[in-house]
Amino acid sequence: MATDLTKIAFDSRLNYLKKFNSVSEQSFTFGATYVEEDIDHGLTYIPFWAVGVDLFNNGVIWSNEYVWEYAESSAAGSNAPPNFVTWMTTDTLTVEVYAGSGTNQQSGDSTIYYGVYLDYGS
Amino acid sequence: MAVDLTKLVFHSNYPAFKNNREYTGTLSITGSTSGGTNTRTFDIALDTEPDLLDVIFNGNSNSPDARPDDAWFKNGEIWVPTNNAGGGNPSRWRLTYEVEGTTLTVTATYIQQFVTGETLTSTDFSYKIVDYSVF
Repeated sequence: MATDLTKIAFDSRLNYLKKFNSVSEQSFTFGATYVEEDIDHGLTYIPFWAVGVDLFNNGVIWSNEYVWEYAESSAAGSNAPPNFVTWMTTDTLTVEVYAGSGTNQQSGDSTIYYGVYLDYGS
Repeated sequence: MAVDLTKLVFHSNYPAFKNNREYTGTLSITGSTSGGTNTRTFDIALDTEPDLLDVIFNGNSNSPDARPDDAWFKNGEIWVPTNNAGGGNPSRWRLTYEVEGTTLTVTATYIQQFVTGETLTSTDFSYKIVDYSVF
């Protein structure tokens, strides 16, 4: 069988995403409103990252932000679901989890799933 | 024994993502706003049509947003000061992006409520785009 050289997986001209470390989960406890979880990496540069959170503690991992249709009256109060955002500095990945409000407010423990990768960019 | 090249550790018949090209730059939100939805769009030219992109931003934060100013984010807002003395808060612009062909368009969106037109203090934010080519 002829080998298709364009399928060679290693090309030294380019960088590759290699996982920074083997740890990829962090437990947290929902707060009254927001809770921040810091994950130290200490790489001294902004790496590539991906984060998912088990927002309802039911085994479903949400990536990105949970979006819902707001269809409530102001008089009835807000039942906003849980949500999260992330940001990255040169030494820390921060995941800020919002517990939600009203009937959708979460409590107890759940899990953040994340990956920090090396060799980001060209 | 003949060597089966398809068994090489660094060989795959399937495409693979590789960090092919990086784009960085600074954009600016300026001008004034009016009641309702305000947007600013910025077109960024890419060398080739991408297979997969990662886009991150850096820009001003503000209380109660806990993100520090030196942090980068994939989804979030930047805060742009205004001349609105009554509200006391800067305007909050959500950043999104879309790709069509070789053009990536960044859109900043601000929903203005309860106040009339505002004059913005020109505010910069940065972007970094990494193009993952499929070979």
